[in-house]
Amino acid sequence: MPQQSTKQAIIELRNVHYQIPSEDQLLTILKSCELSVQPHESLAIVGRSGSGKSTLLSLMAGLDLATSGEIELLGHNLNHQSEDQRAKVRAQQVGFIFQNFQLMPSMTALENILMPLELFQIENANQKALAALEQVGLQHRANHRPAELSGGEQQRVAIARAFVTQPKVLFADEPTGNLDEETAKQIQQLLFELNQNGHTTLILVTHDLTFAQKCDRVVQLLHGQLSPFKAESM
Amino acid sequence: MKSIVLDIVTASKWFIRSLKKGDWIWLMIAVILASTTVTVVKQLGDTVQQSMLRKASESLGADFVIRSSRAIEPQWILQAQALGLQASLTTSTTTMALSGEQFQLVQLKGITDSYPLRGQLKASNVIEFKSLTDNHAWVEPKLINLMQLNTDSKITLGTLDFKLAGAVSSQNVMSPLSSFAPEILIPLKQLHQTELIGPGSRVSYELSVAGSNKQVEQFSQQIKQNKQPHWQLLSAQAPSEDLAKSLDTAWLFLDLAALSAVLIAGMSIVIASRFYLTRWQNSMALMRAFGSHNAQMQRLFALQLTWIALVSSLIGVSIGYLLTLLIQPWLADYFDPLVQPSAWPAIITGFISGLLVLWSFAWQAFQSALQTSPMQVLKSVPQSPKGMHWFISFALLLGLISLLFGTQSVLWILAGLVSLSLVLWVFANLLLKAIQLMQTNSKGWLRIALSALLKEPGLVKVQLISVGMVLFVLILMTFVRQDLMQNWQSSLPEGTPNTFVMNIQPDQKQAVESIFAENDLTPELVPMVRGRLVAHNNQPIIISEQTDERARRLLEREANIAILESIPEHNIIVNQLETRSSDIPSVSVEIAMAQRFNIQLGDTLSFNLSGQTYQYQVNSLRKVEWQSFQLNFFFILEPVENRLLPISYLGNFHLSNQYQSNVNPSTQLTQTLAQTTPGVLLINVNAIMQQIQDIMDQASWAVSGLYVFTLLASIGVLFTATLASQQSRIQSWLLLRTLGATNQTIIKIGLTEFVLLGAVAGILAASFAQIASLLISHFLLKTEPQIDPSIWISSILAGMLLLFITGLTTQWRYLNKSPRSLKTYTSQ
Repeated sequence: MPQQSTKQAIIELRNVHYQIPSEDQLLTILKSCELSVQPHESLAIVGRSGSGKSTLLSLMAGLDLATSGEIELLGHNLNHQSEDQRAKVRAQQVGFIFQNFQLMPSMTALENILMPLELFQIENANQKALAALEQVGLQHRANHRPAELSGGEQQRVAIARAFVTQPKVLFADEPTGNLDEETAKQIQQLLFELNQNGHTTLILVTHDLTFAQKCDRVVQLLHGQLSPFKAESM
Repeated sequence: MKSIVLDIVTASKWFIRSLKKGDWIWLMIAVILASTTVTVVKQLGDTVQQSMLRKASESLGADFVIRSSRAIEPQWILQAQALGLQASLTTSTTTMALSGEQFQLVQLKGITDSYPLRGQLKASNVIEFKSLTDNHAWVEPKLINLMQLNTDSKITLGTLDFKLAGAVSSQNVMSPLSSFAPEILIPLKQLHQTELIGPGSRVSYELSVAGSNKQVEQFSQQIKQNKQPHWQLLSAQAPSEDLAKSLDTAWLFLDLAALSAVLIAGMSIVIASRFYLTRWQNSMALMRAFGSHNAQMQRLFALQLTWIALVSSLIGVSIGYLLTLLIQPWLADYFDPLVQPSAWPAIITGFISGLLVLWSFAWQAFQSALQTSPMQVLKSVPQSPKGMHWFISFALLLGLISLLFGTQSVLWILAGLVSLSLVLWVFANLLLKAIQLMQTNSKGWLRIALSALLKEPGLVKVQLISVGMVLFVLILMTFVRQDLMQNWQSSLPEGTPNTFVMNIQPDQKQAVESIFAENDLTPELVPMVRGRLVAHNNQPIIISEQTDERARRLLEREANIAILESIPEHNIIVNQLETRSSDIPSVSVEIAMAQRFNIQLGDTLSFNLSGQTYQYQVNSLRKVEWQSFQLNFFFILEPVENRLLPISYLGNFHLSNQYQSNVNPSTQLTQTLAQTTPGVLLINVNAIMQQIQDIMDQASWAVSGLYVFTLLASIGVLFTATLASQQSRIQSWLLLRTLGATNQTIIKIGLTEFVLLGAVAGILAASFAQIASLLISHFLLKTEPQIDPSIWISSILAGMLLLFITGLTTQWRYLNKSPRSLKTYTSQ
C-alpha cells in the first residue's frame, strides 16, 4: 500500500501487528499496518464493527502496545516505552473524544473541562475552560452535571475538554455514534471548525462514511489490514 | 518537588469541590462512624475504668498498699515520695479496749495525718467529730453501742487513755474477715506509747500510696522487684481476686465493643469504596489517556483520600467528644466518684483510628483503581488483583489493632479476623451456589429477585461477609453481655448470706442456736478446725519455696477446714475417686487449690491441726464460687471418730438491714452473743456486698451503653451496605417498570432481594456466633458451653428484619419513581 512517509509525520506506523490470546490460539486483530499522518491532516479510519478500528486508535495514541512493528507518535517511538513514558508523550499534546463521551458524572460541565488543565497545572485554567465552553456554545450550562445535559451537549463538553489544552493530535472514536442525525451534523461541524482553528491533526474512527469523507483522507480497515478507502469494499 | 506541591494544591482543590457536592459522603460517614465510635468507646471506657478503679482505691484507701508483718523500712516511703506519690503509714494490732467496765476486742490502728489517701472517712453524728489529735481516738460507730460510749467516755488502750474525737467508718471494706473486730483509730506516734506493741505481738504494718497511674505503676514495679517475703501487695487494679475476675470480663467486653466499632466502620468503608471504585477507575483511565503518569495519579488520589480521612476523623472525634460531654451528666448518676480522665488520649486514638481504618479498608479499592489501564476509556479491561496489596491492608489493620488493644492482642485478633473472613467467604460461595439452584427451580417474581442476587456475585459476597460480620459481632456482644449480667446477678441473688458467725465452741453451739431461733434465724452450723497443709504425698511443703504469692499466703495462715460427711450442695464436684483406695480418711480439695499445689486424686495430704499432724487421701476435687458469699472451704475433711480435733462451728445467714426500734439488728445480735456466748464473732459483710454490687452495677451500665451504641452503628453500616448495589438494582427496576411491571411486583422483587440477603447473612452469622460462644464460654468465661438454637432463629430473623427495614427505608423513594426519573438517577 503506497504511503506518504516524511520525517515530519505526526504519526507513523510501520508493519504493525496486534494479536490477542483467545482460548488456546492467538487471534490477529491487525496485520502489517502501515500509515503516516502529516501535521494538520484529518484522517478518517473506517471499517465494520469489530474490524479493529478502536484498537488501531489505541495503538496510535499509545494506550496499548503493538505485538510487533513500530509506532511513532509526535516523534517518539512508542514500542519500548513504559506506560508512564507513553503518558508523558500524550501529556498536553493529545486530546480524546469518545463515543460515550466519558465525562465524569460527579463533575459539572466546567469541572470536566477544567480537569486536564488542573491535572497539568496550566495557568488561568478557569478562564481557559470558560472560553472553551463558550466556543462550544454551552457557557450557560457550565454548572450542570452530565446527567442534566442532552447527548449532544455532553459531546460538546467532551469536545471542549479535548481542545482546551490545544493538543497537536486529536483522537476521536465514533464521536457521533450515540447521537441522532441532526445533532451528529452539528457535532461534526464543530469538530472540523475547532480542528481547523486549532491547526490540530485529527484521527477519526467512524463507520459513518459521509462523516469520514469530510476528512482530508480516508483509510479503511479490512481483515486487519489498512488500505485507502474504496466504497465498494464496505 | 514543585510538581508535588502543585499536586497537593490540585488534590486539595478537587477534594473541596467534591466535598461541597457531597460526593464522598458515604466514605466520610464510615470514617466519621469509626472515629466517633472509637473516641466514645475509649473515653467512656477510660472514664468507667478509672472511676471504678477510684472506687476500688477508695475501698483500699489508696492506689497501692504494701502490707507487712514487719515494720516497713523508711527507704520505701522516701522512694514513694521521690516519685511524687502521697504516702501514708498505718500500724494495726488486735487488742482489748476498756471503757468503764466494758471490755471489747478491737482492731487498733495508728494512722498518720494523710489517712486515708483515697476516699473519706464517714463521720456519724452520734459523737461530735473533731480532727484527730494526741490522746484522742476515732471509733467505729458500732463500738458506741457495744461499749456504751458517749461524748465524755474514755477508752483505755494499753497504758494510755483516749477521749473520743468522733465516730467514723472507713470505706476500707475489702477484707472484712480479717478485720472483724470494730476499729479504733489513734495517731500513729501514740500507738507505740500505748506499749501494746512488743515482741510477739501480731501487728500489721501498711504503707499506702496514691498518685497518678504512671507514678503508681512505677512504684509498684520497683516494689515487685524488691519484694520481701513478709510483704503482701494490694492494688486497686485488682482489689480482690474474685472481683478481678468479674472486672476482667467487663474489660473484655469494652475491648470487644471497640473492636466491633472498628470492624463495623471498616465494613462500611469496604462497601462504600466498592461503590466509588467504578467512578475512580473511570477517572483514572481518563487521566491516564490524557497523559497523567503513575506517580502523579497515586499522589492525587492518595491525597484526596487522606483529606477525606483527615476531615472525617476531625468531624468524628468532635462528635465523639461532644457525645462524651453529653453523656457525662448521666455517668455522674452511676459513678460516684466520677473520674474524668483527659480527653486527649481518646481524641488522638479516635483521630488516628479514622485515618487507619480508611486506609486499611479502602486500600484494595485504591490499588485496584490505580491499576486501571488507559485502554479502559475505549473498552473494558479485566484486572488481576495483586496479592501484595492484601499484605498492606493487613499491615495497616495490624497497626490499627495495636493502637486500640496493644501489641499483645494483635496476633490473635488478626488471626481470628482473617480466618473468620476466609470461612465467611467460603460459606458465602456455598450459599450463592444454593441460591443458584433455587433460582433454576423457581419462577415469576421470586426468580427475578434471586437472579438480582446472582447478577454481581462479587458484590453479593462482600455484602454477605459485611452483613454477616456485623450480625456476628452483634450476636457475640449480646451473648457476652447476657452472660456477664447473668453471672453478676446470680453471684449475689436476693437473700444472699450477709452475716457470718464464727468461733462457736462446741459447748456454746446450743446457746447460739437458741439465740438465732429467737431471731427467726436457722443457719446451719458447720464444724470446722483451723489448720495448715504441711505435706503433699509425704513431701513437706516449704513456704519459702513457693513462687506463687497466693500459695505462700495460703500456707502462712491457718485455714478454716470443714469437717463434713458430705460435700455441700453449692459445690460442684469436678472429679472424684470411684472407690476408696486406702484406709486413711478422705479430703475433698477445691480445684484451684489443687491446681496451685499440683494435687491429684488419690494423693495424700498432711495437715497440722492444732499441733497434731493427720493424713488424708484426696478423693474429690470441687469447684466453688468464691464470690457467692456461701460457706466455702479449700479443704473438707471426712469426720473420724477417734480423732479429737479442736472443733469450732461456723455459719452464715441473711440478716435484714432494716432497723428495728432504732437498733441495727446486726449490732443487737452482736451484743446478745457477746453477753451470752463470749468469744463468738458475728461478721456483717453488707458493706463489701454493697461495694461489689455497686461495681457490678457500674460495669453493667457501661456494658449496656456500649452495646446500644454499637447496635446503632451497625444499623448505619447496613444502610451503606445497600448503597453499593443501588445503581444496578435501580437499573433492573427501571427495565422491569419499562416492560410494564406493576409497583407491587417491583416492591416484592426489591424487598425479597433484601430479605434473602438478610437470611443468608443471618445463617452465616449464627454459625460463627455459635462457634465463638462455645469457645468464649469454655476458655474465657469458664462456664459450661451450650448449643443454643435460639442463636440461629434470632440471627436469621434479625438478619431478615434488619435488611427488610433497611431495604424499605433506603429504597422506598426509588420504588415509587417514574422510569424517567429513575433513568436520571442511573446515569449519574
